[in-house]
Amino acid sequence: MPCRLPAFVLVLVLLALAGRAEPALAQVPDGEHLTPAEVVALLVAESTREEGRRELARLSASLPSDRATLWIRLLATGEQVPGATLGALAPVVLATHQGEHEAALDGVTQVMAGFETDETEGVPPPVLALAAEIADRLDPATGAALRERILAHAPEGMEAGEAALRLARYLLEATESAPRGLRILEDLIVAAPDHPIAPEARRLRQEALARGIEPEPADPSGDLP
Amino acid sequence: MSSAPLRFPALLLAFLAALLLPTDGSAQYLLVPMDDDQANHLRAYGLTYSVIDDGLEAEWLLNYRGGSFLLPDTEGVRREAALRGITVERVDESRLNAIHATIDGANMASVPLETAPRIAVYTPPNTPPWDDAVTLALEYAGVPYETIWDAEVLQGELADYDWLHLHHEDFTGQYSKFFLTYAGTGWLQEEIQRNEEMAARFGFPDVPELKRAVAEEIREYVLSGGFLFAMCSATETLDLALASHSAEITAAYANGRDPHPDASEQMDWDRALAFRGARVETRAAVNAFSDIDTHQVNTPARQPLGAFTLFDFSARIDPIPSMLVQNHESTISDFYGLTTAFAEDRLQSSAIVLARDGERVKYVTGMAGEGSWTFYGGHDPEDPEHQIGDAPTNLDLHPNSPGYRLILNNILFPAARPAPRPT
Repeated sequence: MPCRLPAFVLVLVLLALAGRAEPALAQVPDGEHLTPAEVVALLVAESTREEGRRELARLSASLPSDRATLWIRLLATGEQVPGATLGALAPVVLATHQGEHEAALDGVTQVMAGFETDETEGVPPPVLALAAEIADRLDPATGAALRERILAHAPEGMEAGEAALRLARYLLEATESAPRGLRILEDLIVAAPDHPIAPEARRLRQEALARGIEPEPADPSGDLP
Repeated sequence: MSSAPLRFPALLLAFLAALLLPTDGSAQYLLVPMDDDQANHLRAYGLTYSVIDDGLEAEWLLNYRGGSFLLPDTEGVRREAALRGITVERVDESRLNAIHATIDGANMASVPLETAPRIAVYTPPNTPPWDDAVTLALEYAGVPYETIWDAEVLQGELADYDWLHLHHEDFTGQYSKFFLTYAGTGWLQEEIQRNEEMAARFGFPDVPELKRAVAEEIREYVLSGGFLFAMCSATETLDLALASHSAEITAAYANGRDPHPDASEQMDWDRALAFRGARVETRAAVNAFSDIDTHQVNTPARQPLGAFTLFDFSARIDPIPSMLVQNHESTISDFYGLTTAFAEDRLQSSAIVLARDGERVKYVTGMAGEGSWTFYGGHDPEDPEHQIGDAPTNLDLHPNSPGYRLILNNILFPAARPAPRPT
């Protein structure tokens, strides 16, 4: 696995930051929850990863909604990537949970670097989506760039709709990029008018139109004389 | 020259093409269902308007699935439907035939929509502290309109429009008797000043005379073939202004003269569009205009709200009232306005009642000369007790509002070309 070594080092660093270096092995009684650090420790070790997944689900359900989002995303990502990748990403999410955003961004960047070799097909879109979510907290431009990668490499993937919506929202914030943001929204709505995120995309579009923004032409070169 | 050598490849190509074409590739129309399957009823009107505004033809399928629309299936129309969140169904020739067969066998009709009406909203050139349901509906549906006020009306610009909506104007010139509650507020003082300046500009001695002249222009507009739609107090006060051309009905604060003690007897109802025989409320301290309004919302005689029921007309024999009542619901919760509903015994005999709650008529239409008028009582169909200063209704929360649909039926009504009545 190309990412095993750097991810392993990263795990040790992040677990040290979290104050816990050993996985919890005991079964947790019903009604009690492990701490986020304990869940991550379970996910990191291959031997306890399955238990870690179960505890991750319980943790996600027990946290307040504003704190649970990233853990839920980790849970969903874990169903789409190899177990080792889940193990590498878990400490990154823990770092974000603890407000250590620079460490988290460094960590997820290393995880992604492990995929960017000739032996792989690139970073899986779920990992890019999780990385974008983490990057948003420190540097929204980096988050936007990661979503651009999702749209470029996996426009038909499950992550594309949300990536387009959030990229458009970012682009609409700046005057010069707003027309492109509006174009992305319109293409998203037209491509999937019944998608669950289409109503939110329409709402954003209406707001943009009310601001006087016009969408970027679908094919700028095609409009040249 | 023989064509035989080409036959086999041509057949093969045709066969392959049939295999490769998507199953909906032969769709020629888009059905915009207007029953409960529709995700956004209000914006469907804007889509249909934009289609005919682009020079394409549309059909209004009266009583078919809530008054559905049939539009041409083009990439542009599909795209607009998606962007606006409107449910559409692709219809091929065989399904179209089935739809028409259904229409032929029931109380339904198909009406071509051909020309997008030019729309004017009569409203003051400022932002009054109340919103207007029609303006909200037009904005939300994406239907273009222009605003006009007294100067444009008096300068003959009504002729530029097919459809006119009256805002919550008090055509008796009494500022809706708002001084009872809002004396001293900046917006009321501004309204008074603006109206007095307009009266002086056009040489009228006072605001009631100005408003009466405007009402007369609106009447002439209807007689000449215009479509008039009014809501709330504009309905009642327009006719009061028209019928009072030789009567003194306004309170002294409006023009410095006391109303005539027999003002009601001096009214000339032949000049009115919709009403007759009303008792005019001339007392300045009573916040009502006449006994046309059934609810008297700002008086001690205030009546509670109920629900009104739409009439079911014959789509072929009475296509115009049928268009006006197309809806996915037949009973709708009532809502207050300065004029909420109309007393049935105050309506002219030629008026066609479209919706009622017992003897209270909520929605009514009629012909006058070459044109028509439609009056809809109440202020805001989705805010039954709307107060001055309240935030405007957010129609994103009411995309399927049956009460707002009635407003938008009126927008497309001038675009329709009903089939001749069967003899």
